[in-house]
Amino acid sequence: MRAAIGLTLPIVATVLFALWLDIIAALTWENFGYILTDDRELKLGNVLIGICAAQLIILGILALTAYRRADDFLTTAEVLDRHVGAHQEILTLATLANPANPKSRERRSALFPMLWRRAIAYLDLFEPRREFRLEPLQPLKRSAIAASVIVVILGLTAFAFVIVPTPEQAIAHHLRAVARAIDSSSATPATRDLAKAMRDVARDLENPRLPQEQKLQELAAMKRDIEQNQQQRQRGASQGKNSAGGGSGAGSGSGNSKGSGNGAGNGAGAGAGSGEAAGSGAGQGSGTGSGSGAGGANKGSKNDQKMAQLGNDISKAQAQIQAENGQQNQANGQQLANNGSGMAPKDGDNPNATGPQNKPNGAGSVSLPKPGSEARNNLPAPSNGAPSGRRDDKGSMGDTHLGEIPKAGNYERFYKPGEGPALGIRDARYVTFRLPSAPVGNEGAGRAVADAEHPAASVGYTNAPLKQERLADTPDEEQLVPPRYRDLIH
Amino acid sequence: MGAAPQQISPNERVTEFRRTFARAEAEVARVIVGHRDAIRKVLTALFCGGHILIEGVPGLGKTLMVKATAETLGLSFKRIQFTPDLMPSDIVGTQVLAESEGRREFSFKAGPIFAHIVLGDEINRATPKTQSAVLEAMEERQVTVFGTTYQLDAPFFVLATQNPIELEGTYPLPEAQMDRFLFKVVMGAPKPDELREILARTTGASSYKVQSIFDAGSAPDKIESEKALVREVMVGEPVERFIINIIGACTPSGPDAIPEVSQYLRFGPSPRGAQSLIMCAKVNALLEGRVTVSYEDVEDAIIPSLRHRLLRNFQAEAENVSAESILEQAVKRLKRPR
Repeated sequence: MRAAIGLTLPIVATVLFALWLDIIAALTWENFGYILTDDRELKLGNVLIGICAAQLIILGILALTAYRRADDFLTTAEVLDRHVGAHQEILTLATLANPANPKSRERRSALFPMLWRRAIAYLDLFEPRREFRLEPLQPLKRSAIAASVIVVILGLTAFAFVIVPTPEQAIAHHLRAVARAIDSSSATPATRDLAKAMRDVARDLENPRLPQEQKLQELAAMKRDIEQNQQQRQRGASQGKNSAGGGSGAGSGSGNSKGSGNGAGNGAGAGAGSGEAAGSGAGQGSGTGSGSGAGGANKGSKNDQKMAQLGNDISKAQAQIQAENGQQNQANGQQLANNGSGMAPKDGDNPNATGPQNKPNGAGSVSLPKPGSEARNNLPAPSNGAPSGRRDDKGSMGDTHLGEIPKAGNYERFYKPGEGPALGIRDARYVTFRLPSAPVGNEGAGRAVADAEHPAASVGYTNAPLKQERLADTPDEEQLVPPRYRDLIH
Repeated sequence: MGAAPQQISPNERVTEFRRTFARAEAEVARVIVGHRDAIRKVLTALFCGGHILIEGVPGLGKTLMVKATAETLGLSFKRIQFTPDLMPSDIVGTQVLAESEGRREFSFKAGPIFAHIVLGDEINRATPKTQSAVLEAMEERQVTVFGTTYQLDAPFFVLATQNPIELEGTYPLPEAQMDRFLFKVVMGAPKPDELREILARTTGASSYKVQSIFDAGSAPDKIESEKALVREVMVGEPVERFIINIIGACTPSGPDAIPEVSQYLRFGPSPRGAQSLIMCAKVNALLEGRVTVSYEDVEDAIIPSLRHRLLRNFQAEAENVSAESILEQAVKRLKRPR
C-alpha cells in the first residue's frame, strides 16, 4: 500500500502532463516562440507512455516484493515482533516453530512453554488495524518529491523536443491547434469541414516538396474560408440572438501587389565601366478587420477569437513566406546583375587607379507590404545609381569580379598559340585567366607565369595575346582587369 | 548436583533467578559504592560459569568486591597474591610428606585454587609459568599434581585483577590466557558522591557485615541450578546471525571485517568470544524476565565480552585507538538482520 501511495503522485503527474500538454505548451515554450511539431509531439507522447509504463512496472515490482516479504514466515514474525515490542520473543518462537524447518524443534528448551505463553500474550494484544494503521503522510511526502522529480524530468524532456519553427511550421501548428479546438467543441458540419481543411493545409505547409506559391495560395484560400465562416457565424448570431439591438460587423481587406524594379548604375574612372542590374520583388498584403457590436448576447466565442487570431496569424505567415520569397528574388536579381552585360573596358591613363564607388552588381531590394496596409508598389531602389543587393556595398574598389569569379565558361576564347580563329573579343565584360602551372614554350608571345595556388591545368596554356594588328585597333569596350593581374599584362 | 528441580515451573525458575540475582547485587552494593555495572558483570560471569578479569588502579575496591561477592553467595573464597617468585605449586598445591599412624607417606596438600571463588590479585606480576598453572584450572576445572588429577568443586570462579600502571617487572597475560576470561571489567575512579559515601562507610565507627543470600551449604547447588537455567534460554536464528556478524566484523582477516578492524587489529575474537557473548546475553534476557535473547541483550554484552579478545596492532597503539571504540564502530556499522 505504501508503494502504491508512493508511486501515485508520479503517475498522476505523468498523466496530467500528457493531458495538459497543450496548456503547458501555451504557458511555456510557445510563449518563447518554440513549438512542438506533430511528429515530435508523437515522440514525446511515446516517451510519456514509456515513463508511465516504467512507473507501473516499478509499482508492480514493489508490490511483488512487499507480497513476498509478507509471505515469508520469519519476516512476518519479525514485523509482528517489532510492532508489539516483543524483543524478538515472537521471532524466536517463529524460528523454533518454523514448519519449513522441522529440526528447529530440537532447539526448544524446558523454557519453551513460557516462551509460548508470552508470545501468545503478545499476540493477544496485537491489533492489526491499530498496529498497521495506514499513515499516508510519509509516503505522500516521498511521493511528492518523486513527482516533482518526474515533472522536472518531463519538462526537460519536453524542452528537448521543442524546436524553433519556420513560418510554415508555426502556422501549421496553429492551424492544427484551432482544428483541435473546433473538433473538441460542439462544432457544426461546416466547421468540421473547416477543421479538416485546416489540417490539410497544415500538412501541405509542412511538405517541403510543395512550392511556396501553392502554399501561399492555400493559405489565402484558408484565410478566405475562415473569414467566410466567421461572417456566417456572426451573421447568424446577430440575426438569431441579438434582439436588443446593436450588431456585429466584420470587414476584411486584402490586396496584392507586385513590384519590380530595374536599376542601372554607371561608374567612370580609370577603368570606366557600367553595370546593369535587375531586381524584382513581389509583395502581397492583406488586411482584416473585425468588430463586434455592443448589446445582446452577441459575444464572440472562444473559437471565434481563435479563428480571428488564426486569420491574423495566416496573414503574418503569408508575409513571412513572401519575405523569404523576396529574399530569394533578391538573390536572383543579384545573380542576374552579375550575369549582365556591360561596356567593354577602355584603357585609362592610370591603369592602377581605382574607379569610383560604382556598384554595378547591385540588385533591387524589395520592401514588403504589411498586412492590413494598403498595397504598395515597392520598387527596388538603386543605390548610387547602380543597383546593388548588398547593403554594405562600398563599390568594387576597382576589382571587377568582387570576389565572385565567374564560371570558367569562356575558355574557348583561349587557344594554344597559333590555334583558333582570329581573336575578336567584343562585348566582353571579363577576361578570365588560367595561368599555367609551369612555364611553357610560348614562342615569344606573352609571358608565362607559374601558378602554384590554383589547380594546375592538365594542358599547358598560356594567355594568347591579341594579334599585333588587333592590338592597334581600338576596342569597342574596355575590360576591367583586376589590379593584381595588371602587372602581368604588357 | 545442579539439576533443576522439575516441579518448579519455568516462570517460577525465571522469577527465582531474577530474585537471587537482585539480592546478590544489592548485598554487594551495600559494601561497594558505585561500580554497579562491574558488580552486575561479576555476578553475570558467575552465573554464566565464566571467569572475570578486573582491571583498575589500586584502591578502587577490587578485592573488596570479590570478597563481598563470595560472602554474599556463601561460597568458599581464597586469595592469591601473584608475585614474580610465586610458583605453580603455590597455587595448585603439592605433595608433602606426612606421618600418619606411624607411617610416612606423601599426601596432597591442596593449594588455594581449591575454592569456589579464587581471587588472583595482580595476576600479571607472576611469571608465565605460574600464570599457566591457572589455565588448566580455569578451563578444565581440574588440576594435575604429580600425575594425579584433582577435580575442583563447582562452582569454580576465578577473578583476576590487573593493575594497568606500574608495568615494570610484570608479565602481560598471553592472548591464550586472556581469551579464557569471560569478561574484562574496567573499574574507573569513583564519582565525588560515591567517594563521599565510601569515606562515610569506611572511616566511621560502624561497618557493615555482608550477609549470605543462601542458606549455609546450599549455595553451590543453587548456583549450579541457576547456571543451568541460563543455558536453557533460547536464541532465535536471526539473533544468532547477528552475533556471528559481529564476530565476523571484528575479525581482521575475515571478509566481513569493517575498515576500522582491518586497520587497527591484528587478531579478532575467537569462538570463545561468541560463546561468551551469547551467555552474557542470556543472563541479560533472564534479568529482563525473558527466556529468549534479544538484540539489545547482545549489544549490551559486546564490549565486556570482546574488548580483551581484540589484539590491537602498532598503529592502533600509536594512535591510541582503543578496542572499545573499534567495537562501538562495529556495532554502529552492523545492521540487525531483517
